Amino acid sequence: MSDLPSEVKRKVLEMQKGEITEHFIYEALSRATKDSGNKEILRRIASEERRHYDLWKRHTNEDIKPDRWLVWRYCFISRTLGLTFGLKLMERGEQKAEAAYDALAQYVPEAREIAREEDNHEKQLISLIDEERLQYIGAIVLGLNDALVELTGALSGFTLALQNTRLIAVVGLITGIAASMSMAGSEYLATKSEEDARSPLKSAVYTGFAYILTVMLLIFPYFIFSNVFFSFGLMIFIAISVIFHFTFYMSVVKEISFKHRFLEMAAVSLGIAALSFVIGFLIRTFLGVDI
Amino acid sequence: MLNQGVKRKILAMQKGEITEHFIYQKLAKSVKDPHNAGVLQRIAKDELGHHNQWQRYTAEKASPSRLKIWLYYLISRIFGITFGIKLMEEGEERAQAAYAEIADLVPEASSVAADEHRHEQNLIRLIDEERLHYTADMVRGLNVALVELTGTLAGLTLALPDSDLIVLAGLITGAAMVLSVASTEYLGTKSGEGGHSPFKAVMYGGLANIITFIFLLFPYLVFENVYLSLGVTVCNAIVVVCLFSFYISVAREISFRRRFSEMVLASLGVAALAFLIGYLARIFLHINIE
Repeated sequence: MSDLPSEVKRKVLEMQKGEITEHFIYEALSRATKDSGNKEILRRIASEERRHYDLWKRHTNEDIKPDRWLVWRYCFISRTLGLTFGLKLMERGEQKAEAAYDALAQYVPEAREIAREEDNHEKQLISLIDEERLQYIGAIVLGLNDALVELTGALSGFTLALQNTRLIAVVGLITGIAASMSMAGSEYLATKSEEDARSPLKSAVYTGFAYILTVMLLIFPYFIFSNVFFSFGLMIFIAISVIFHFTFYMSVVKEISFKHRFLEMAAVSLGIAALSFVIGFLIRTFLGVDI
Repeated sequence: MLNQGVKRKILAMQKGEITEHFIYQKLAKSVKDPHNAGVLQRIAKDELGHHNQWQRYTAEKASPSRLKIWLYYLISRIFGITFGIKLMEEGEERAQAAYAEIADLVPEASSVAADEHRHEQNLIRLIDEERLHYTADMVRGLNVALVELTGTLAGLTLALPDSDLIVLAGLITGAAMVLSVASTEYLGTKSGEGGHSPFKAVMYGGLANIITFIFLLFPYLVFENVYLSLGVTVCNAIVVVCLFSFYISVAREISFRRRFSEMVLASLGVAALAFLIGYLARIFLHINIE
């Protein structure tokens, strides 16, 4: 049964390694998960990966060790950034080429079936995972978006109008805290009026927390550096970086296009920042404030 | 056949009905939307019918109150027909007690009156006013400005007690807030449910946002003393909440008290917290304004 050409055998061994690695990842995650529903789903995927491994092994007659580094990496990502994100990221990187399976099918008849299971069944199982964090992702998006747009705007305006980093940091902090609570309050009322399964209080906390965290990231250059324009540049850079990371997270979890969302969000934030910059300049000139 | 007291009461009702008849007719003529004009025309006809019904008992004509016609007409034109009409109907409900007294003498008339009243309420509900579709957007715009700016201004007042500086920072914060609210509103409506024009949602939400913002910042432009300004701002905030809660409670028939206390609590709570933060910022960060 092991009369595979060496070229094909190498490929099958690679597949085998992938399956056993994923088996270990899913098993480790299953052990670490508290929720009994999610635990069971993860255990089922783990055993499916194991079965695939055994199928390949019948053709190669070789045992393969998992990639310890990958196991550790995806476990870490899933634990810190959420199960759904970690698993979808992993499945995304995997995207096994259809052609590779077809080529193997000549020698290994089960290849097509395995490919189909990987593609459909596992994805279905992953989508069953119920993660609290994802229910509140709308609330987090709201806080983050609003903080990005408003605070980049306000800080740009302050940069020209106040020209004193300490002052800008304090004004930004006060504005940011008041705005985060206002946003949390409106999210509370909005969730309450929607009457779905989500808790209004939790939504408000997620929104407020996302907001204040973004505010802190954006104002910290003004606390540290004394050159306003340097702080301003760093703040804009941080804003773009936050948009980049968050959009990537969203695009993986919700399987939507990264580029469109990123450009939209960046354009809105930077556009409003530019407008506020001009407004700050005009107000300063017009009011003739000297500090 | 009717004693003097009862007759006077019926005449008063007659007067009320004929006044409302004229108000509805005037509104029907001024409204552009044909559907709403039709509904208003029907109510106007009903009111005239009520008047005629009472007239059978009194055998006297009643003249409308010109003042009320103009008052409610103006209110409806400025604040929207739904609000104006509901405000008027609310006043009418107080006369409900009078029906009970008359019921002994003219039984069929009062039962008809009650029926008609219900019918009228249903008709009013048919009025489709654009601005009511966007109350949620206005509420959001107003709430955000209210909570955020009372908070920011309270914090700034303690952190940097200089009214020029506060106006400057307040204007920039307000501008950024208005732009950000408008953009989220726009993106939210665009991806949201149909029937809502994103542009109009932004307009209504933004308008409520800007008006509140100007109203709150205004004291700092007028007074030199920042603490006095803060006091006036807080009063203004309460006035805005009060007026707006009243409007919403009449137009949407919801409890005024709960809405009012909820909004006042939210904005003053945040203001108090921001005040404290401003105080801490001043103590620990030692900002010097030369």
